[in-house]
Amino acid sequence: MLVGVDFEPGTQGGPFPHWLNKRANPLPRSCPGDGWKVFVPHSSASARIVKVALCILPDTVAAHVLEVCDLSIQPHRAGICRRCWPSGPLDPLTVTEFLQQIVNGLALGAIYALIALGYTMVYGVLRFINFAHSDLFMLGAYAGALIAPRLGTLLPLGGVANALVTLVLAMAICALLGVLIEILAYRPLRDRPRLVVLITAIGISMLIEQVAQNGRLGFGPEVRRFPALIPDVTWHLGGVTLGSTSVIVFGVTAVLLALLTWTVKCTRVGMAMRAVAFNEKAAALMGVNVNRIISFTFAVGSALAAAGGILFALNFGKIDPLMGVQPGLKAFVAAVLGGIGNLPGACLGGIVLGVVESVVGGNPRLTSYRDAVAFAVLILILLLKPEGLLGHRTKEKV
Amino acid sequence: MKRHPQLWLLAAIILAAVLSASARPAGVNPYYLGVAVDVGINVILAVSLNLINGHTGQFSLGHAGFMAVGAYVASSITLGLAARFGGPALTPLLFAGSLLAGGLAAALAGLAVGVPSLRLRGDYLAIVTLGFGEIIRVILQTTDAVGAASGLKGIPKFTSFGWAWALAALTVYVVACLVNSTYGRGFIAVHDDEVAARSMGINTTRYKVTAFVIGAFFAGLAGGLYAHHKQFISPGGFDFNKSIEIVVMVILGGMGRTAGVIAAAIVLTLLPEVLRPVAEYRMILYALLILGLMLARPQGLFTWERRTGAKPGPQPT
Amino acid sequence: MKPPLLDIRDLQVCYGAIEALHGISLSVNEGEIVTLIGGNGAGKSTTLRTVSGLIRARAGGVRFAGEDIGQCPPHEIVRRGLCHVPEGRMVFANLTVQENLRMGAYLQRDASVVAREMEYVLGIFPRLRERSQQAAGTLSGGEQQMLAIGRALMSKPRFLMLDEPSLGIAPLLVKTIFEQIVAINRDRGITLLLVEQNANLALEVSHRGYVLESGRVTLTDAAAALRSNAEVRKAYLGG
Repeated sequence: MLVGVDFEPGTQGGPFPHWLNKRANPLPRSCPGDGWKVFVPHSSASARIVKVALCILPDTVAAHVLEVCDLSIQPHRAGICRRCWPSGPLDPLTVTEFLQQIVNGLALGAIYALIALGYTMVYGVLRFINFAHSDLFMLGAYAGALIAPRLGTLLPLGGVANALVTLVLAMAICALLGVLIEILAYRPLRDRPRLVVLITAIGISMLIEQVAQNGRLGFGPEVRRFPALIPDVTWHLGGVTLGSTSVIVFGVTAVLLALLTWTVKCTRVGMAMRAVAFNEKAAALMGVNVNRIISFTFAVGSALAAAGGILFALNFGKIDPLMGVQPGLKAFVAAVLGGIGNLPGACLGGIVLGVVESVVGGNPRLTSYRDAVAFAVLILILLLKPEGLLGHRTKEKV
Repeated sequence: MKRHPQLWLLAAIILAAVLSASARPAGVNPYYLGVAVDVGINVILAVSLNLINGHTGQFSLGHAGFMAVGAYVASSITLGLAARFGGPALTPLLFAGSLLAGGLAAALAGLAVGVPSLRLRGDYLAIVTLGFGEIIRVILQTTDAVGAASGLKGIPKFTSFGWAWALAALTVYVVACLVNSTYGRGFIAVHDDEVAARSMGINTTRYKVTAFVIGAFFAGLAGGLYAHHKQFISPGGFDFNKSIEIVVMVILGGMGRTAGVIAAAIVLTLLPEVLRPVAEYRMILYALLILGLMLARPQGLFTWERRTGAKPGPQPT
Repeated sequence: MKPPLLDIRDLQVCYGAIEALHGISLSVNEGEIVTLIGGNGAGKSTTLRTVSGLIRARAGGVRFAGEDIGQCPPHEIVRRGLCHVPEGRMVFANLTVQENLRMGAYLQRDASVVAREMEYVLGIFPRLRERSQQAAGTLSGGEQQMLAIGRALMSKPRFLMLDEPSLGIAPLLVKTIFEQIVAINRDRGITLLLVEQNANLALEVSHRGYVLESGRVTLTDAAAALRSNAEVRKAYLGG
């Protein structure tokens, strides 16, 4: 099989599915280490079909096709052994590049998972989507940005320790904020129709974002640098680079997930959370103070969002008041993907979405559609399996 | 309004024509005229969304996406054909044609959104419509043919006060007729209790999709008007925030009340002008307005009925 | 004479604009088993739900152990020793049988007490012991009812309210359940308020009874007397 087809400059690269090119196939024997360069006179539709076909066909057949179509073949000019790829916007992903995207995707997915957990926990106990959750993500990052330098001067901690203490403090602050929002805005509306609560959540989100953007009242709309708390070390494992920030992301996420799982499965509070999520009234009849459990849920969810925010900021190095909008929406999609109300589902959804987005984003041709990936996934899952990958279908009782 | 809608429509159109004839640049400050056009456009947007949200009870957060489709389609047609058919005699025809095309394109988008939304309720529907709105925005942002992120410039200023208000009157008329007709009872039935409606033989599917399609059509019209008023459009102007602006109008006016929604559209279009001295805090006040409304008076400012929608007493377990 | 453990006076409850209870009064003395009988929609479940705090009354008072509990939230009422096993069981289908029972003992911090109570409950309902690690949603209706009652017992209540314990359960299991109801009243001195459609069975095990019709108490008497009352027999006991 031809490894790839190169085009004469001036012709358009066709709609090659680039994964075809990723197969590590040997070059045609007649090619002295170089690939084929095929000159196609114009980029009409038939020419495109020919180009695609040449990619899939075995060598001998391809050679015949080339003859029949009266296309000329010339050995590669440069003489350097390289595979020929369609020139232009469709660059190939080699295996290592693909793995790199996976690693990046896992780090991104871990952050999405942390945010998605908050969404799914709140939905589990209150049956509503907390639009303001993404703003707690942002506030966590800003809290970290404000705390870290001051902490450095107060306590003589090393880089990583400083980062961890900052993380814990920011999580605590956002946990309090989350509870505050719940008590002030959502609790009074407990019995109102869900639409009203949803719009309230949108209002809170808007309020936080606008105040944060305001120069006088908030942080100002400009993008700020996030202090580099982690010494920048990179490891190379067989062509894949792993940065220290990614390692921290994996580590922190793993620890937080373990803590959360232990809390939900083994503690009294966690059992109460699961009970309230299933049936609030029945839980109340067991002596559970439902309001307190709901507040606790908000606190935990918000703390996780804050952690996500700081990890995100560590990873990308900058923060701005609207940084939570896109990750928040995507994390919500992740929660739906995994099954809303389902904690392992949120993790799975986050990771899947992160990896998919990273792979799409890594491909230069599709990179501008990166943001739309999440929504496409959302619509697909809601059409095909609305209860999510790990969710259970519940029938609507008449 | 319910008795003789045709008369109201006629009166509104005559009024619009008269006002537009007499409001030639010499008469009224063009800036205020521009604001009045904005009002008309927002009325169309609010009333069309009201059909989906208020009357049929489906929560749509992507209305700006339909508006975008209409705006871009109408503009593309005008920009493409204006050179050849630019004469003053043909302009109204060209404009009407491009508006109609924009509306129809948006209606198609409404169909695309309405069909998958069939089995979704409340929160999920809201998110899916939001997703569609975002997808439309992203597609427009990456399509070089329509200017990608920079948008379309130099759209001829075809929208006038007369056009905007005449179409607004038309929108109100169509929606009002639709809802008040026997057919229209179906919308309200779907709103009140979908399961009950279905068990009575009402094809809820058809109503939900119809609501989306018609709502989207008028949003597309509004988009076309908007494009030919501002003379410049970009995908960023049709994002989630824009959808929320329209949703707030519907809520402020009381979901389902056409008169209230019109009043709310007028108020919310004029509000930024009034708030110009505190423009810096405009969006903050806006957010506080939404919150205050929801906490204190979720039935809207312009309704006079008892607070509806409160859950009935505790259900039997 | 000791005041009743549960004392309801002129209770008025409304669902929106509809009045469900028009000012009912009833009382339960300590150590008694009292039954509420009546047709569908008479207001029996509403009464229980108001007492346990799930619904707030429009007017009237509910006193438990001498204290007014009308304004208390449900979890506070449980803390005082009044447990409600609601209609439809409401077991936590996503938790195991054992976790359900632990939820019943939510307010009990002492682990040894919890273990002891769990032994007791699993002792009187052996079928639950077999299924203790199963998810509660997989249990049959009768087993879920036993679980619900056992769960309520875990908090060592003084007063237990059971809403339709026999609904949708096989007769043999109903017999077991009612035997246990009598046993817990006798052995542990738990006062019971039953709501039952199966008036025959309920009145057999009760000391006293009330008849509710359309939100009003129309008759109250000793259980035996109610059972021989001709009207009651015709309306609720199948002649």
